[in-house]
Amino acid sequence: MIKRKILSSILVASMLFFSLVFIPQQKAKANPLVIYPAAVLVVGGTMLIAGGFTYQNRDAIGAITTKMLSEMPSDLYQEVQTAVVAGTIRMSFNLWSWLKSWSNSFSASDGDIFNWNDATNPQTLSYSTLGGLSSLSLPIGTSAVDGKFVCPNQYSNDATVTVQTGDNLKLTVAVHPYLKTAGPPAVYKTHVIAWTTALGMSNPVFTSQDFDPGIPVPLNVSTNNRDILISISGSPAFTFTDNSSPTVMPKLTSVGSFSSASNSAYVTDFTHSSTKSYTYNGNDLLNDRSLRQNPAYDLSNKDISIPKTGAGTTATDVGDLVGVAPGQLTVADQTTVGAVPITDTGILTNILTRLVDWFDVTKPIKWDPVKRMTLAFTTTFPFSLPWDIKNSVSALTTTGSLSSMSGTFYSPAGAIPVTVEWPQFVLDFAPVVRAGFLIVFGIGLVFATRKLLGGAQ
Amino acid sequence: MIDLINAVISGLASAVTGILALLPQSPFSWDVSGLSSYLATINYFVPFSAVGTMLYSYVTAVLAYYAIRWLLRLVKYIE
Repeated sequence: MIKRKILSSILVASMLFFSLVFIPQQKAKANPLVIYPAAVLVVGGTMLIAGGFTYQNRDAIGAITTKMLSEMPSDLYQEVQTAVVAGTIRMSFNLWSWLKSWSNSFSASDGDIFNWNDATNPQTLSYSTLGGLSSLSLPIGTSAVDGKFVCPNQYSNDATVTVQTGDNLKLTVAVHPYLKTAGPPAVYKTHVIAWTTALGMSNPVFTSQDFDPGIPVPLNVSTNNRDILISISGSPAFTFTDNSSPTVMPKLTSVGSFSSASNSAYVTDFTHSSTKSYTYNGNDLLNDRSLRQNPAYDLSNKDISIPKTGAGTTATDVGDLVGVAPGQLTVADQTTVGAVPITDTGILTNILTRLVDWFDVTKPIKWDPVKRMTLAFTTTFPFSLPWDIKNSVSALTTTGSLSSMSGTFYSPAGAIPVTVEWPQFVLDFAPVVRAGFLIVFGIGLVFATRKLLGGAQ
Repeated sequence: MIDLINAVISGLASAVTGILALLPQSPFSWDVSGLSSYLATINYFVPFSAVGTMLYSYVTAVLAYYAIRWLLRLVKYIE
């Protein structure tokens, strides 16, 4: 019974392997929306077989997973959800945890992360934690730069935002994939809003900050440290709260790769989540530009982890995966900073790139290590015995021919060369000898190895 | 996923190759150069080429027989 179970498991695993690796090879390029959900379904089934969660019945499967999957924003999860509700698959909690983790990377709520509750005078702004503040309306035009936010450093020639006097500007932050300038060595940069030592909003400037991947950028937002207000791994975004609906970065142009709101992806990755409380409002992340970080998040003197980088530059190829048009996720304007090209390496791109890469069944399976291993068998004793026998026969094998025998006889008269031709009967019977040898060899081989075939039992 | 499969293949192959490295090399040497002037004549009467082909086919057949017998025993079709 146990052996049958083992055999069944092997067969199932083989079927999954072939269905996952070989069958979709031609289809993967054609329609990712078909292949990726199918791959997820197969993976889910595999994980269930491997010991995933067991539900009581099909209704329970549907009820539980529908509730969980209802938070999913993408078509991929809708496909999974449909399959789960229909009872097509059962999903293990391991797989679900992974899905849930991805879902949580999309965050949204009704508030902003930086909501300063001081309507008129930012210089009197008192804050201990950003989470305790709610909103700030700043009359533009009273600043020292005449209503312009200027990037003094890297983008000094480009990053000028001009707003009209009387516009109300509310600073928010949309965490944006940071930039990696091409190397070597590659330089990772993120955007910050630096609050100069002068009080108030008169000198908020864009700047950039280099960092090392994996090392958090420190936040210094306490009341005693106001030189850097926001030091966060993302791009600051402006939301104009005039009569129109809030928009993100409506007039911020040509700041590196942030050419417009339509080609920016807002991704959050606040990994130290002691107070993190994400609420997804049901909107598509990439189509809802009003998404914000949860306001209850306490940013005082915290370290914010850098969003994980990815090797890809765009997510164009996986646009359908998250229900957006190709190119919407990526940064369309791959401009350069000086002579150095900029690469968008955001976490969402990273996630999608990794997902696509994981299910990319078009990549070749490398059998070279197996070939080298097989070669080692041919020369290692005692596994080499079959090849030794083969080599022994090969060493004796050559093209048969029957040439005359020649020699020299020595006599008192001197050396006498002699050439002896083969008798005709030898030539006549040579084929008989060869055939007879093969017959005897074959019969002898069978008898010599009859134990191998059970003949001795 | 393919990367994972490749990593598994590479890891298993490296492990097996490492174990094989602990074993001795084949002790046999088949240097028959001393018979080179007679090999053509010997091969005229003794078809070593055909013998080699027969050996190769026979070993392949025996291995296939063992593989099939193992599978059948695994599923209890035979004892």
